[in-house]
Amino acid sequence: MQYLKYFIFTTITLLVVSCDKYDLQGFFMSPSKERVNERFEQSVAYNLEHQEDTLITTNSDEYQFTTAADFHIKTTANNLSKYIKSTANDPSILFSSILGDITDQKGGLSIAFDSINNNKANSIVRIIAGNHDVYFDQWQEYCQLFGSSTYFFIVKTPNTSDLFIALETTTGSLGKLQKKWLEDILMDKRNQHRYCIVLTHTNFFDTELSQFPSGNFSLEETAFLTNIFSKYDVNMVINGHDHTYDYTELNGVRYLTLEDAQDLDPEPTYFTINVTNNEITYKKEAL
Amino acid sequence: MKLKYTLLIFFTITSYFIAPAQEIVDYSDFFKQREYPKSLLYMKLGYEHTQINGSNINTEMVGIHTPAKWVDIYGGFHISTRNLYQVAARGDFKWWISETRNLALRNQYTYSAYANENLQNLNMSLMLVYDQEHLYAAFGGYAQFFTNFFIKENTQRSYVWEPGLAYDFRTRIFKKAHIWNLGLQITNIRHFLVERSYSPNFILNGNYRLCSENDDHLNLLIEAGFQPSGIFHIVANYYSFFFNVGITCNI
Repeated sequence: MQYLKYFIFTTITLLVVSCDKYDLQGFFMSPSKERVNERFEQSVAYNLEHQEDTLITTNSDEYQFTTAADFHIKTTANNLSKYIKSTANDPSILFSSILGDITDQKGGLSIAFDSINNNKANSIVRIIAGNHDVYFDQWQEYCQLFGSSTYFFIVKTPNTSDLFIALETTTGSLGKLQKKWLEDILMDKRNQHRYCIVLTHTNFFDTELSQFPSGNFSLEETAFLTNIFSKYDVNMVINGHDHTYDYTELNGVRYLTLEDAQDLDPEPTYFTINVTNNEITYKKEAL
Repeated sequence: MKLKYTLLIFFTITSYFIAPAQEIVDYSDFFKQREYPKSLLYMKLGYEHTQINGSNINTEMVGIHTPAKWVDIYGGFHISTRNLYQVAARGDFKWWISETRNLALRNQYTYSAYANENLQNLNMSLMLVYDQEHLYAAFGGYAQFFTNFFIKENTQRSYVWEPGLAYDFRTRIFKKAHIWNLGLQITNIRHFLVERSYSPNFILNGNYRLCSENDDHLNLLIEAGFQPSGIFHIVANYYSFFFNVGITCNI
């Protein structure tokens, strides 16, 4: 028994020191030096310099886009390359999106960046950060490579337009500034558009425990967000994080949680979202 | 889905078929002197700062009625300057299962209504409790349902179901009956809220018996707490801080 405490101490120390997948200091403080309000301000500063990114045009009122999450890139990006290539080569896909947890470890973001740029050709890719993407203090690298994680863009069709809002939820809270920004966007812009779709990494409901204990929003923030989504007629909220498909409806808002797309996953998937004049439908696709 | 129904059946069975023990262990002379039924009123004034709502002042009034040693019934409201109006009711049922080790089952039902956010929530939890003079530890599971008050036109009412872990760990430096006490608490259970498992509250608790030792007619309570967000994302950030001053009195 007298050696037990030394054994436990050594095991924990080795775990903490050697782990390159989980940044364990994050149990106590964020591995990203910037807090959520600072990250939001950096995203907004990037958006101001890249306002051309807020408009995507298409020649039909009905279109498709794809979305995938949780690639968790380690040293290879096979599934990410496949996903970007397949959507870039499909003329029916207007744009593709990646909803966070691009990587698992330091260096993974640049592998992802190369993979996207080598395969996307002229297609449009929209990206947001996930909690794993800010491990090991990678937020600044994320910003350098992908720019922003809080932004909106508009899909302009011949007769209408749709509003897309991307939120940064890496630490399980929008923070006060991003919350105000979201409220303002919804208040000012929602009623000018046909549909509104919100993209986040963190999912809103834990209807099963497959990823336990992955963290989500607090109850207070869940109540607030679900209420404003409903109040401003958000049609669909798409997120990842949980690695397990889930579909929930609450007061007119549809919450879709994507499966993961890791290279190690035997059945990686992405989703195709079909936007028509009457409805928004989705379909799971194998990678 | 299987898990959902298994848990529902589990809660139902434990709720209806575990009879409350006739002899309840009272390890403290102080609590042996208590008479039932008894009722307490708890009033507090609090300050809270949250990541998404900033600073606010809040007040809470809770009536706690204990008709027998094995049940506490709570009812009350919480009002905050950030327009949070919450009413809630809660029932705590305790069945002592071991006289020698102070083991019990705690079965709790909490209903919360978030008037301003158009959301209501029912949480049912079942925990195994170890309770002694300097330590209280409760650990178990919960199932909770969400639904809205008002449903938009052409929309069907839906219910969202979530399972999770419920826990409440408290320490105190003196025995319970001491005239004052200080303790640490880690829990996801507040008066009218069972927070999700991955949102623990870290609380420093203090109390001072204003009448005398062994007298719980008037008790001053102070708590200062901290809640991180994203602790299980392993990217923990500050989420909220709260400071409450309150009193409980026998009525």
